[in-house]
Amino acid sequence: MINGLRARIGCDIVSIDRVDQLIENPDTVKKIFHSTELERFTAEHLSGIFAVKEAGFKALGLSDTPWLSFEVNYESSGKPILRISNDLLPDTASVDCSISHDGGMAMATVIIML
Amino acid sequence: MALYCNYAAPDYDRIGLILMSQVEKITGYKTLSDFLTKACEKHGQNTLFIENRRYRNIIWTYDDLLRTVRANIAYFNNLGIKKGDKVIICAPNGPYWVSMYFTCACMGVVLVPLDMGSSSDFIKKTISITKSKYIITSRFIASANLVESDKIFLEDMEVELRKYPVAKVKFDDSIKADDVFEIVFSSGSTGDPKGILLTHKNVCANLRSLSKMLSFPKNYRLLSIVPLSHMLEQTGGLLCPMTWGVSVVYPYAVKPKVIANILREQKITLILAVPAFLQLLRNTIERTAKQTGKSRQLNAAMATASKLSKSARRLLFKQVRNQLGRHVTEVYIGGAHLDYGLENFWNNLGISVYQGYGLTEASPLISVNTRKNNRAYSVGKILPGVKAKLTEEGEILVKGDNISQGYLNDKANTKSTFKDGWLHTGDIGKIDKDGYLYIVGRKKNVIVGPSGMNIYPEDIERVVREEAGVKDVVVHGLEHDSDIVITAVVLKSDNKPKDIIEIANRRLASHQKIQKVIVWPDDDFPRTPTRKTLRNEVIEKSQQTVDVKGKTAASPISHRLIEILAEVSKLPVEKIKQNSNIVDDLGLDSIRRLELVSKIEDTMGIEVSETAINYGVKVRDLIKLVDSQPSATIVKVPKWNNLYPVVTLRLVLQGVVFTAFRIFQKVDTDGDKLDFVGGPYILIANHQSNLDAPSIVKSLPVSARRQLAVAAAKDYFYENKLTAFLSRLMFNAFPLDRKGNLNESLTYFGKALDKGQSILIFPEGTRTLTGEMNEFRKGIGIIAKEMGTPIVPVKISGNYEIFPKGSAFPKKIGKTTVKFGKPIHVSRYDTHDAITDELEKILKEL
Repeated sequence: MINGLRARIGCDIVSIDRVDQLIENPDTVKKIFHSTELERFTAEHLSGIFAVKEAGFKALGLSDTPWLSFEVNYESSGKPILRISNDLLPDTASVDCSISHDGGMAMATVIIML
Repeated sequence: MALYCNYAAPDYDRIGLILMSQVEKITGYKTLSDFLTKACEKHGQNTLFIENRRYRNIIWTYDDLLRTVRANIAYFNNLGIKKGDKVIICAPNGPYWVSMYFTCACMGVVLVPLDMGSSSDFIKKTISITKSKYIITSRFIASANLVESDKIFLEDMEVELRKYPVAKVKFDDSIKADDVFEIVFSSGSTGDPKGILLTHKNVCANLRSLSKMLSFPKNYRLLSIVPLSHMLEQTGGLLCPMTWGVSVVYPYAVKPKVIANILREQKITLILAVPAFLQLLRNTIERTAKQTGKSRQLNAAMATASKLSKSARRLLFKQVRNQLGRHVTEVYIGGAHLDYGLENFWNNLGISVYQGYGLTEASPLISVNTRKNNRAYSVGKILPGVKAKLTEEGEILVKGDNISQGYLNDKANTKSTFKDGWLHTGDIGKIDKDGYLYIVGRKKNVIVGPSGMNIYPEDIERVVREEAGVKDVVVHGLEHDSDIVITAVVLKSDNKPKDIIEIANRRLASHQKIQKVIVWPDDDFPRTPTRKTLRNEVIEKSQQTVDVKGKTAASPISHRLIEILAEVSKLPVEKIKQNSNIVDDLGLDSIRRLELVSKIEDTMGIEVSETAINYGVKVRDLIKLVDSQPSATIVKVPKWNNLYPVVTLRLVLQGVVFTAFRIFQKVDTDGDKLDFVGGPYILIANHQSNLDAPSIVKSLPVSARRQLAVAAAKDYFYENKLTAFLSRLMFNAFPLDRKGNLNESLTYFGKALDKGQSILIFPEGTRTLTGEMNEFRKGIGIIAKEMGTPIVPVKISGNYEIFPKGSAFPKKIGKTTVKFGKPIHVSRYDTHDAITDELEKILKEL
């Protein structure tokens, strides 16, 4: 614990092909992604966002949270930012995330200070 | 953009039919731009569309449509789209879809509507055949988004169109009736797409003939279910209602459960659908009867119903009808053959089912049953203006102004299908002495899914033959537990059925995916002397094997669900036990769980929240979840607080309170005048004291006070029944759950805004302790985005000094200033957080 804050970490790895199949269904896309996240519509890009959200759930230990309560945006430098946009979740002091792609996979790590 | 207004619930049924004689239809149009102008002249301020979003119902008048079309034209001009260009539209139904349809009609741009389920390959092929310039689509459709092309997103239009002034926009008057208006494709993903050319004349002729046979009172409401990419929906579900001034409701999702709610809430009278959809809706009714233990009653009532009069039947099935909304009176069916049992089921409920017949090549209607002329089994009388005859083999040939001139760049097919001006439908029929047409057999083997999507077995068969190493295959829509299951009957091969499904499905579009493989028991299919497969025999025999098997199944739902689980988890059916944990035992990771949700939704026609299927869930729980599919959490909104006498009493009481407050508080108004014209609005204010809401109300003109609702903390004002009652009475308050239940709050917001009420909310969530504004809670971002209503910032100062949190009495006598800012249009494409931050900043700086 630092200054009364606890660090939580979560990571996730996902196959880009599987996300490619998943996004065929518009209803499913609507359940997972905000329209802002869809501006670059490629399976690779969306896999990264998917992984961040999944890693976020893991960090918080949540399994029944809607995917839309997380929103992943990008800074102009290209760094992803995770926003936790729901009052239901515990107050988070600080959040950071990182994404990487290689060999048909996308992985992400999320750190949350609670 | 669309006008938000207060609409009265129509009161129809038979009264409507009596009024019908007073209704005038639109006549004398030669092109669709002509039609639009005439429709808008006639109906102008009447409701044309109700766009059902999850929490809102937004009214579009005819004038709104016209204004949007004008803005679209300016927008198209700016993009460089001009007369003769081709534009693909591949998007869900909705007012903006329609606006694009008419924009193309008014500019002479050729529209190419595609099914939402079209694969990327198919869209690419269509682009290369038609040389289309743009794809109009939605951000949620992967196939269209993955195609490289310039795109227009329907979700962006509301914001985008604000940039285009419409005053000077004129329609192109050089458009002629013989100009091609649209190219409609009638093939699946793998075959060569066949583009049917339809002119303004074709479409208008069909519409005129249809309007001679069918008539509707103005207060009717039609629910749009069939995709607008189909001619059936364009002519029957859009143009025909517009002719009569009937409103069209666009639901946010086409799932029976959602639809049943909308039928009820929106008081729908008319449905246009394909038979498979009626079947899904029937399943929902029967399932509900089973859950409530009323199956037997339903069956008994069904058995006696046929002997009763229509009104007696309506009374008998009151409960069922309440489930569907009591207003549904007429259902029009097209697109595929309607099973007699299904027709009977609906007729027994007192809902008339009218079957029609048509082909895209005929824009599309050829015959239809009507109120006056309705005969069971038949597809109705031939439309006036359409000539029909039968060949010696019984093939139906038709001729008329509604018939297409042929296929795009395909002389061979045009020649063989359109001989001497007669369209060869490929369907076998007979006509009785009274002129009713009956369809005896169809040459084409198309399968029609519940949403009206056409699935061509030949396309799937080609893939199975080419990819899966199968000698021969027959694909058809197997009827299984009242669902249509896309089934491939294959000859024996080295590949296992499971592998065949997997290999083939990789190449197939989502709506074409094979769900079941049956291995043919003999070495070869039955064939004609010329080696053609006898499809019907193959289909009949495979149907029989399933019917026998189906009877041994435990219960249809658990059986079906276990099949789905097996498919998603790729485990054999035996491995899936009632107490298997879906994560640990079935290995469903998050992607598989999402697949599971979409499979359940698609096959069972219900809505499932992905959050309901999480780590602890067992197969048993899942069955329960699907079986007892709860109706959407119904949030009851009390009505008494908006009754006229209550509102008047409220104004009086408020006056008394304001007078009393004058002892210690003087209220000044600053900034822009706010009168709610052009509203409704969401007012956001900083929160200093319990005096805030009264101060703001006092600063509004009386006309605006009548239309204001205040969001009040549920845990503070609604714990106690008396304070709850008083806040409702005094300030038209409704509960806002500070701890979560956002869904409930959003429903309240949506309903209030739909009624034309503006809402006051304090986004800080609580009163300030320091006099400084607190940080906004995130909920306001979600509310602003979901509601799509302009936001008015309201700054309050002085109240903290007079009556801060924690004190029981005013601390001093003072002056309060209420300052109104300019309405802010929140883009629906900002993130929730960005909207929250932006609003907080604006209010701070006001």
